[in-house]
Amino acid sequence: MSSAQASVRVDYLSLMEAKEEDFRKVASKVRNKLIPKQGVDYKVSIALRPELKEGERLITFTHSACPYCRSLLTAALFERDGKVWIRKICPEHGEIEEIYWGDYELYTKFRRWQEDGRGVDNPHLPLAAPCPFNCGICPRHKSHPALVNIVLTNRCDLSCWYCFFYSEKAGYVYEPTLEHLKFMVRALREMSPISVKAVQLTGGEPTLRDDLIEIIEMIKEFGITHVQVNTHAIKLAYEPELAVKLRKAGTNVLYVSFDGVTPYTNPKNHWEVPYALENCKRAGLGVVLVPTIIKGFNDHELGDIVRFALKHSEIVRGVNFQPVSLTGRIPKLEREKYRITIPEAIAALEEQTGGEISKEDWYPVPSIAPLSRLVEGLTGRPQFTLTNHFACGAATYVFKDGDKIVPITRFVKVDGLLEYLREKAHELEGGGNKYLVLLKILAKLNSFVEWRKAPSSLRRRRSLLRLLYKILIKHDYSSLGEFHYRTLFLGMMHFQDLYNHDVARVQRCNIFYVTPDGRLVPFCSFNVLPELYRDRVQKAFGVPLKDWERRTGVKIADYKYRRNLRKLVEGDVYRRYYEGIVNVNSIPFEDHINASKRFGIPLSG
Amino acid sequence: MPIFTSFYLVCKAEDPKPLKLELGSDIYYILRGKAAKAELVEEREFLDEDLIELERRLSLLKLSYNDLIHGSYYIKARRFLIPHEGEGVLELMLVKWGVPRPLGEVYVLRWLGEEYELMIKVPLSNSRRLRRLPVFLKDRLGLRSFELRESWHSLKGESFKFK
Repeated sequence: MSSAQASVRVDYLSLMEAKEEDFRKVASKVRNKLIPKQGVDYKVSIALRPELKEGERLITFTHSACPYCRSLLTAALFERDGKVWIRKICPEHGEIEEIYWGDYELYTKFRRWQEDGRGVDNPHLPLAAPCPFNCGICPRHKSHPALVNIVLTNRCDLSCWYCFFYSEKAGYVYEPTLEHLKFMVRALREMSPISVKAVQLTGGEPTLRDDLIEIIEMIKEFGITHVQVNTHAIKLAYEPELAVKLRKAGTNVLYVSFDGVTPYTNPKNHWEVPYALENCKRAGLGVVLVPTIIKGFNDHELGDIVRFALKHSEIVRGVNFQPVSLTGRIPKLEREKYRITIPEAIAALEEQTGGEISKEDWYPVPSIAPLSRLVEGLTGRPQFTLTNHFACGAATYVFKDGDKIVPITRFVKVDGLLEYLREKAHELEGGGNKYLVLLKILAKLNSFVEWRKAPSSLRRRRSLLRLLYKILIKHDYSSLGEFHYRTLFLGMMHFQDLYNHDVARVQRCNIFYVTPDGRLVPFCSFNVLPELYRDRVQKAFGVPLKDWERRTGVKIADYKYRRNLRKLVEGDVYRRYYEGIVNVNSIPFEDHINASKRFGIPLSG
Repeated sequence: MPIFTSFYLVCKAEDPKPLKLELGSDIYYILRGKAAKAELVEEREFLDEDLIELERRLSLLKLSYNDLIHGSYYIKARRFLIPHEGEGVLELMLVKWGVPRPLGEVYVLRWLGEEYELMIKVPLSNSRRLRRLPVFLKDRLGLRSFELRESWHSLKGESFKFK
């Protein structure tokens, strides 16, 4: 389908000195031109329902876009051989079938915890198109934004072979000015009833911006309490003062890509991560490791990644695994080769930790929603609530107890506790006395913890209980923060692609992007339909490469990273960080060189 | 004469979350300072082109057509004759939804062309506010009189099948 809107361009060079208010005017002028249009950008063919075949059991129907023409189709979710599948039929491109969730039993267990949110009171767009072609945020959206991504630049100092996003590939530089960013952040703060409090600064590579610290300070001044920076952390390996500046400016955590513990599985930043972690430790800047899991490539290292994180738990706050999202046209056989879903990743982790972290230890993200509803009932104020689709993410907390990994579920009766909180939230919503309810909870809380099974650090002075009390009574950010300092968060977050696309998940998404025209677009629309969202808006507000180079005097090619492998491998920090996890001495130097080169990072020295 | 389309639907779903829903509307048009009940002239099958109109109602509940197709549902498009739409059309939308205890709500929408304004939302359990609804609407719309007697059974949820 051709796209008439793709040609919308703002003369961004003329806006370099513009004020926030000017950006508001520009945004309102171009927004309508950027919004997807039926017949031009997408079609609707929802009448046809896929039929089930022998041995298949229907779970439900949903809507899903065709990976080839973006037509909105009706899809069937069904069980076959203990797994959940999605099938849709495009009138033009035929039947498309994909695995949706690798374990039907876990699907039904997770579904039990689904909670829906109340969305936002002040959507940015009127309801004018079917989901997911009305993103912005639209009135039917069920969740409030929990975390909003702000793309600071599409420049990157790497040229990863699989990435189509960075400036040289795109042909333009997208880099909103500080005043423009103010306009976007204000749009987040104006959301009602839950104003956005957490943002992720992303790219490209956000540390390439010279004004990054100023941007973080500005965001903090707006009252955003949580700022995380999504980075490959290579710059942080070389610039210890950057970690200090980021922390001082108010960065809460770095979100660092980390695909494995060897050069073979993590050629992006295997060598730099130890140095970056060391610098972050000195600066007191926490890190979340983010492995993208690809079947047959790095799914055998999930256990080692967790062990690596626990070894450095004084600075690593969590690991957020992301099963791969397959974008672009990928043949079915290739998809089957690389595709891994959340339950399969959970099973691999169980195997690789010898059952220390098992399938039973994981809960879907919305399972924690009753706690928010409870606090809402106690305070009388709308609360930040995680109500994304149960299939989007799973989480657990683990503790280190000597050499052992102890998940929270081994000493806290999580099912019982969550059910109890749900029941009490319901009691409050039905008009129950909040003081009485709170007293009942506090009296009962201890019965959900089996102290003899708890890690020794928590048994001492029953610190876990004090933490839970603080979360329930104070229900503030510092209580939650303190909890995260004492444990390792493990998450699984499966971003969609057009093969497993499910509109029910899009409508519940709580991770958003703010676009330069002030819209809020769910992650899985922004990146899954890039021609309609990400690429379209960034191109419209971008500056052609040559113009950008002329204006700044910087050549894009000049800041590309060149890796000094010898120096990195021989460093004490490198060896110390991987000690006990992987024997780096057994890796031939030639393998280091080949891994880096194959990935597309040239060498220096 | 213009036709105004509204909907009647019943839905029950289990995935991803249990949902029970019944929704229906009474339609009034405003003429010379009075609101008159519009005549239902046709009830027909739901068509793909009705999607956005339906979702504009469902979005008030943070629901969408996608929620309906997740379960079993019955839906009809109801077409009302509007002899005069210059001063707006009022839609009294009654909703019963929720699991385990269904919640009843009345939404009053004032339509001017394709745009609507949500005038008020009243829980069916609040009988005092429900009784005052005609007076509230009369005052808000500046009408000489406004009777909801004909819709009273609907407003009390008596005409709804789903209990």
